[in-house]
Amino acid sequence: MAAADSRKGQRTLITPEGVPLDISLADRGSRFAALLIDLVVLGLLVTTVWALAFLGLWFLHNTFDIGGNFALGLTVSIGIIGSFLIRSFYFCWFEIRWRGSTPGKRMLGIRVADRHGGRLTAEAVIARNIMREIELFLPVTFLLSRPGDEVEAWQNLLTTVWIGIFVFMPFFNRDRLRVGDLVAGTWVINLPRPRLLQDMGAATSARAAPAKRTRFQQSLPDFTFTPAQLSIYGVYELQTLETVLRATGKAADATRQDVARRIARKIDYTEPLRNVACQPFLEAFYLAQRNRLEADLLMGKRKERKAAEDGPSEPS
Amino acid sequence: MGQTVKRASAELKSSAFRKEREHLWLELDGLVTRIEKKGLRKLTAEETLKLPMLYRQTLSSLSVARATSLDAAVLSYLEVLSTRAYLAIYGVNTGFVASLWHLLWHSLPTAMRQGAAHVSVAGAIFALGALVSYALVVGNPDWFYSFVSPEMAGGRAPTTSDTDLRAVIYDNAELQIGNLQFFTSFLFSHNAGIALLAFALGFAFGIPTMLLLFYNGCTVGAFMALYASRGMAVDLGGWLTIHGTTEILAILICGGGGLMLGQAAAFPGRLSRLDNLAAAGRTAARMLVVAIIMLFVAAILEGFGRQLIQDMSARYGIGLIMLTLWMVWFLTGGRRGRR
Repeated sequence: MAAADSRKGQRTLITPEGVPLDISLADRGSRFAALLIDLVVLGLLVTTVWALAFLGLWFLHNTFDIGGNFALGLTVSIGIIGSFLIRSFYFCWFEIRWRGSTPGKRMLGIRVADRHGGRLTAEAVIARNIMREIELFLPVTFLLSRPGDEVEAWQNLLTTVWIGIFVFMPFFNRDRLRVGDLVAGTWVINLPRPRLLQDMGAATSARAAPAKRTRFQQSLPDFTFTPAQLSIYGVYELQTLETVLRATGKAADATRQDVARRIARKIDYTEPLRNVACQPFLEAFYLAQRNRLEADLLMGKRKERKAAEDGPSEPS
Repeated sequence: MGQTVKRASAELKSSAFRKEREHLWLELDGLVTRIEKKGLRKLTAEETLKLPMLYRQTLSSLSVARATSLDAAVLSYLEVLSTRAYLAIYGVNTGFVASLWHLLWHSLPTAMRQGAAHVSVAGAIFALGALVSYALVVGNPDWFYSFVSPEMAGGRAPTTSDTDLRAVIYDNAELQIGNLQFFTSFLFSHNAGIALLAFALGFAFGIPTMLLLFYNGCTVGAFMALYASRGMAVDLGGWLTIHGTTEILAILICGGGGLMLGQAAAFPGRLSRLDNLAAAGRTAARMLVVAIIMLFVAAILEGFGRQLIQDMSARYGIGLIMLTLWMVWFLTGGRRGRR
């Protein structure tokens, strides 16, 4: 079962192996954009079919002198059947072959997945795309039709309201499901693709190993911290420090100096910090702090953040 | 100051953990990236065998890392890698044609059998409407105008002459290939519109669906009464049967699907209303697919059959054959070899 989460668009999905995974729902904007891209591709495909059909007609006419109504009728029916098939099966075909994505979804980095953490079945894909007929194509043709008389105009109004509920369904529920998703038991999620970043702990401990220290590093004091100094911050601060250490860019060094001085003040680190010593100080502190917190984790203690005496401000 | 913490030049436990397993994650990452780009089938046999193993190892790494590691990079990477691997492994694993075949021969007939009761109720309402209006129009032909709108009647009314009424049934219009427009018109045709509306309005507790079915039953009943009064009931029957067995059945199926949705919305039972609606919707949507296929076939029958085949018994024959074929599909499809 998927559970709701307080963070917006964040849900937990439990895999068949029983491991909960955090996933983020695709937002409505990117889904709409994906739909538009797909419709453009669909339009291009249909145009190609018609162009090919008429090219064939032209070829037959010129080579075999087949012309008249029969050939034209054949061409038109090939075009109509072709576009009907493309329209009906475009989404199904791609979502089955491309594991839950269409060209538009792929460009936007979103995917269809089973809402309950199971396998996405072809049946669910077909079901959610058949409902598209009612959600998308029917309203469009309906809007293009003109009412014949007053009764029909009223009927049209009612149907418009009704169809409106259908079309705007993603706005009426927390999981941003459209009717097709509701029926098929699916939802659309973001598919992020981050790189595996270097382990900050491994990198800094390698740099701090005595054999590999440069002369500059040897000139620095040996940063050591007492258990009391390491018992102030929690996991949240540690991981924020990790991002500060990873940061690159113009302001990054200034930020690190600022952060280092604040930490020093907070933990009563009395020795003065030179500007060049700030980065090694932070690295040493990160390493010691992480070592300490992970040791606590093994003992079953998890300190989420620092004590709230001075508000939920950043550790910086 | 008590004793100072020993300088952590020795590796962190979590770093050692990561170093030990990192190559597995990266291997899985490579496989998943290839699956995302080219598909599961492009993997070699060994890679396919290795995939679930790597996936489970990564999941277990994730669980361990959550409990013991504070390396934010590893945590977020494993989280996403596991999600991607999950999506790649638990994605659609059947081919397109096989999926369609399974839908046509297993799921659709099964859904039809599940919805048989609702379709029967829809049929009963429709028949009731037909009977009521038949009785009323036979008693007083003026009732005809209440049941049939002028454009629907298409010049057929109690005042029309016998020859004109007959001409509608046996219109010997030249068949033109241009009539292929039925492909486009099938979705916009009057009856298809009724069918889809009967389905879609089901959410409103099924009441509009019932009214719609009753009213359309009335229309058919009124026509029957009109033609019966001129002794042409059998001819009208043939005209209706050739595509009506398909088309009216499709309307009834849509109506049945609508009633199923209505029931789910009105009497949710143990589930929440939305969940129950979704559960019923799965069956109802399949019934809708059946109905759309039938409407498509009906449009072909109406476009060609009704004009090409002027013989009454042949019309009855084709209509009944179609009915038999549909029934064979619904009743035997997917009973064996269930997956």
